[in-house]
Amino acid sequence: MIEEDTPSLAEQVTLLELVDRVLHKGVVLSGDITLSVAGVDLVYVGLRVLLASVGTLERLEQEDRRELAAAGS
Amino acid sequence: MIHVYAYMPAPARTFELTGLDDAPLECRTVRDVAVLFSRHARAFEPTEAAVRRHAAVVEAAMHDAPAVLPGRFGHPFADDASMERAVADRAAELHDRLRLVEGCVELGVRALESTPRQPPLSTAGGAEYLHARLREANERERRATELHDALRGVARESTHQIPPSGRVLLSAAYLVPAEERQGFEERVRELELAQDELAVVCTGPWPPYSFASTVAA
Repeated sequence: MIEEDTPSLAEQVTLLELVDRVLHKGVVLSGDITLSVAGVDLVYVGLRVLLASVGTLERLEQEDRRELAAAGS
Repeated sequence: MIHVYAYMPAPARTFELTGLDDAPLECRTVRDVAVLFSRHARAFEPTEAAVRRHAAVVEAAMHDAPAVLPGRFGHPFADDASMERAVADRAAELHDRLRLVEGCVELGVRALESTPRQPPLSTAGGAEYLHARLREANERERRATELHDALRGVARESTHQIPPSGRVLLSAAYLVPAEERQGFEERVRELELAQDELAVVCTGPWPPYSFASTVAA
């Protein structure tokens, strides 16, 4: 068994989509904003670095096509 | 300060799990809107752990309540009075939105170019170059709209963006009745297979984050 140090790409993409939703969608009824731009940037930089480190979208596409091929056979 | 996770139809519910910083969850009803929140002495930076905890509480609420509107991270209320006032003021809109999302899940779709298109040669003349760029933008718009139109049919509501350039051709979210979810995902797979040059990726089901805001984004 290989120990998994980094999450899979699918997990990372899902995390990116999750962060997008939690920070930028959803109901706002309060006029107060406590998020610092720096804080938000930091979490995105972290995510993008993770994504970039594994070859980003090429890999995503390959994995996706493999999954499709497997599902179709 | 008060950090809100979710708005639900009354009655108030109790939850086993804890919120940010392991704070206990509280649920209070204002004009038949049940507000799920926790109290904190400080504001939170959006760390991965904090975002995940917020999302986990929203998920739990979605499993328990017939409908849920996620609250946005980073917009806390100062105290009980300001929360009650704000919810009371917007109760009608919140109830409208809760009815809209009831029984639905959100599905995300991203269409990605598998090979980046060659940008027009910049050595061409100025006008020619601009025309080429314009044609390219129109073509992207046409392809993205075609995809979006093929998917929006079963959705109760949808929201989409077509970035003017780059590998992401379409970024969209669809509010789909739970029983239509499988059909929707199959539709995405069919579209993906029909397009050689595109990867069409479906994420979710999500709580209806993209359809919760009572104000148009």
